[in-house]
Amino acid sequence: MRLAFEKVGVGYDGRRVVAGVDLTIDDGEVVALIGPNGSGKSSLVRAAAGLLAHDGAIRFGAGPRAAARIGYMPQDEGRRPALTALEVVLLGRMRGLGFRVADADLDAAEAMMAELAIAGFAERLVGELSGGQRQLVYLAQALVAEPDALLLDEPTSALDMRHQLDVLASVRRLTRSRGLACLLVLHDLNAAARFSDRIAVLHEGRLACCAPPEEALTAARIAEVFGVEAAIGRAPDGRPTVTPLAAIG
Amino acid sequence: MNRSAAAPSGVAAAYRARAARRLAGLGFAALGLAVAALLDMATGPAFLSPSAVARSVLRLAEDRTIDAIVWSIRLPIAAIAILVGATLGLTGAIMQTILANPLASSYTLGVSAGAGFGAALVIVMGAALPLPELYAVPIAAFVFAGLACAGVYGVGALRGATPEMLALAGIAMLFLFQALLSLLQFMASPEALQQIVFWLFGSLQRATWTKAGLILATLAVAAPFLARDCWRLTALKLGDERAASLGVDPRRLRLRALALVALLTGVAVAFVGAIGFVGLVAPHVARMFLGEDQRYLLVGSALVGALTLSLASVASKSISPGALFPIGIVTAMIGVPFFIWLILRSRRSFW
Repeated sequence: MRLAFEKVGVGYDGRRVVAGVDLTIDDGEVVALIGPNGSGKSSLVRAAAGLLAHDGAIRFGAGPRAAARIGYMPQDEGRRPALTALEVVLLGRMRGLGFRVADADLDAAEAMMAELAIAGFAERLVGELSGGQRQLVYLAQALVAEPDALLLDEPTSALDMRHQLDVLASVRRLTRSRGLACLLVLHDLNAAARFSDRIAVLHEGRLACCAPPEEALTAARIAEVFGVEAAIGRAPDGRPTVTPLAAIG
Repeated sequence: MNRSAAAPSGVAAAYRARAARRLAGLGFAALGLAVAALLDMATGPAFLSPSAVARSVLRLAEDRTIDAIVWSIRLPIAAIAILVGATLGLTGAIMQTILANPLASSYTLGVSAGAGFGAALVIVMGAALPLPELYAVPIAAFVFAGLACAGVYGVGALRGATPEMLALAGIAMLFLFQALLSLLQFMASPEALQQIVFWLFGSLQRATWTKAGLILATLAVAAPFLARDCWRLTALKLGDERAASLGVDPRRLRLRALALVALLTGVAVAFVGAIGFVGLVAPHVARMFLGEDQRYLLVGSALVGALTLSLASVASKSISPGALFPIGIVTAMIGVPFFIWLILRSRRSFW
């Protein structure tokens, strides 16, 4: 379902952290949100998830946010409760869970875990899983309620290459197959270039651009936004690669 | 969706099997509790055979002496041990969940201290009160448990009612009420002082059917609220942000849960005095066996708490025949080594 930000601003504690963001994400499209620390990425995503007050409008499909189902995956808070992977995924359907878990909920959780190839450790405690496996479990939790839009805040921070690939490839595949609008906060510009359809660059709370990776990731823009001199290359699939060279100033 | 095609591993079947194992575990704990309660009723100045006690409780045989001892003395005590133990275990589990803190319990975060101060205040004021002490002590304990909880939430909410702030506010309440209690003890007459100290040790000897009924009623009031909130409480274990994204309002959930904790702790502590340890440890024991799904954990913590206090009641009567050891002391003396052993042997991380 289409996700549209119209003149969205976010502020808290008397501080304006996001201002005037216009951004539309289409069905089946992955948009990566990048920007330096403190540029307002998480605030924008949290506003879309309904966890932070905002002005302007955030629309899902034709209607307001309240009518849409949103799969939101926050940054890892580091909690390791004694819950199994399956129990964590089931909580994704919490709004409909009865005191006795219905077969339909179990089936949905099982199918989702099978789709992400994590059914094998459904009975393991989340605290005993590797970081990448745990992220996939939380991704399954965000997806199991059959959301219309997917908001992921740094889903691959602290993951090694292999697990980054696993998580981001799954995100892109499911975004396409389910026609979701997917907004993905990433720090790794190469991952953003590789897995997104467009890259939205947030600079000091304002949207500097939102364009396909080869347009968004130019040496000039990276210098302006990140203050880093970078060499832009080409991956075999034609997408840009970013190699940071030196800090500017 | 074709289940066998989707996941040959049988994820759903494994979940159902785990649920069945947990129910069996709860059943096992309930059975152990029944045995402990029977032992509790059998022990005392006159030792009765457990089978005679069981026959009397189930009204299978008429024996006036045994019936009199069991029904008017030992059964109320056993019932209070079970109900108070269950209440303390339950409140400990709730507090550990909402404060995301393994050290949380009514005792460690000042709610019991508040209740203790309320009771001591009544004892010191004595005849100056319009109510007889029998009623005034529990009422004051209950009111001050509520005040302590209000203090925990009121101070904690100044900075957003996060688990860390609430835990800090709880520690502050603990020190505040302990200091006030010390002040009362300092000012009290020797007679009142002795009474306060005895009350603080914790005792089941003042058990009556009325008290048992009141505690049971409180538990019955709390149960539907907890049943309604148990998924939200489980979700809260994932952290506030995730819980909020799943539709939980963490602040309101904490407020609701703390109100229940005040009610339950106030009633339990009011009738038997301050018994520490059970509320802290019972949830950990239950968690090791049942995990963090609050549907099982809350019930399990209550059962383990009840079992602990029943066994402590047996021990308090058996340590020196004829004398009665204060149950609060016994619980900790026996419970702490057991708990340390349990932590050391557990290979899984349980928190």
